[in-house]
Amino acid sequence: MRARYVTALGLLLAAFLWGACGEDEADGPFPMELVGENRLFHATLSPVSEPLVVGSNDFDLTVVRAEDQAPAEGLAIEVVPWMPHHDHGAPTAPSVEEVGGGRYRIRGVAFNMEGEWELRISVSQGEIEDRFVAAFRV
Amino acid sequence: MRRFACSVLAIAAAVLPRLAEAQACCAGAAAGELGRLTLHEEALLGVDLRAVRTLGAFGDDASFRAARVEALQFEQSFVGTLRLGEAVQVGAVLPLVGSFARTPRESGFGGGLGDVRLSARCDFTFAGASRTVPGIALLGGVAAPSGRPVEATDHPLGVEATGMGRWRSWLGAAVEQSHGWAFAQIAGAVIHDAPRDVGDRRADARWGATGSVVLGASLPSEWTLAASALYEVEPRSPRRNVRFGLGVGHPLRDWRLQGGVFTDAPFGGLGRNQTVQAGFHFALMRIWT
Repeated sequence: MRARYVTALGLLLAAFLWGACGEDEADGPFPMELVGENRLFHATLSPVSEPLVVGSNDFDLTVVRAEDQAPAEGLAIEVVPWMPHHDHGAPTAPSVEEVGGGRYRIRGVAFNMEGEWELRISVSQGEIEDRFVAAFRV
Repeated sequence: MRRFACSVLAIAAAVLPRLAEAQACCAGAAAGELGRLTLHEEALLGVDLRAVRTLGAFGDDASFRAARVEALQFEQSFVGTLRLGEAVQVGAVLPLVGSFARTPRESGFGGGLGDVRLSARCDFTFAGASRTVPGIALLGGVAAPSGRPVEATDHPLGVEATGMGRWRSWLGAAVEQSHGWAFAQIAGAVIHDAPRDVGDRRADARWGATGSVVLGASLPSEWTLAASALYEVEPRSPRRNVRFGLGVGHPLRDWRLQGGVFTDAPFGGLGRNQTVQAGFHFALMRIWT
């Protein structure tokens, strides 16, 4: 009888540990193609290194004009990391540096926890404004 | 009998989870009742020490992924409860939150004052007083955004975050009954998070709910054992989680010792958009009768 209890307990523990191992990571969504909400710009977003990690991450953003696919240079870009299901942002504000040819390096995107995140990206040039939302799991 | 029932509840409540306690930034009010008075007690003051480790997280597809970061959270809560007549008791919890996190590239430790919570409980009937009428109680409370929200921190791992940055209130009810050495309680609460502004953005108000079951037993030498299960859901997000707890308690003259372990269920499908945690707590309370 005691052996049965030990076996049952062992199976229960094994099941618990099996479940706790979790799922393997699926292929990431990057590079991610983005279309501006105002359809003025298209963009491609890629992390500098994968997989994304809790803590600091850098991204590359390539922006082109929707009408002629020409590189969009000289944009003012603001990036806000946001955790939509938890309604909070990130510890630090990312910085954006223009590399050239419509490419921008986003530095210091800090994900403080694992889960579903968004990068809310606002781009503007003079009177022209557009906005991208990239959703992914960290 | 009623004293036993209250003891079980006091123990069980301490291991029940808090809605959206995924990280300190999401921590807030307890839907549970840390520091509940038994019927013959007039007041208590105590401290609750709690340590929590993050095991992983559920994604939007309800799949579980094991943690790739070592994240620990420590909380010291100063607890006070005062009885106002036989049926009503009011309480306050002052939490001091500390968080440690380490990844292969970064590590950090931070903390401070968390979200201060005020709560009240009104018992209309008491468990064990009648074989046919169970104990019925109304529960309510509010948590102030006295902690530091994650957006107000500087460390990339967010270890300085200690609060939600928004007001939380909750209202619920509990039905409980005891028979001999056994005790059972079913409780539920509706939780409301007020809207908050983050920079030029506004996070809307949100609603959540919890439901819990507690089974308790009186053991020899005045030990009390309680097992609990709690389901929490926030439909709009959508988030959900299941937590199991096991607690023990023992009276020592004018003091009460409580301790327990708890864990979220790390199985795909049982949670969604929620961090999975496990931990333990230890509480010491000075009782005035």
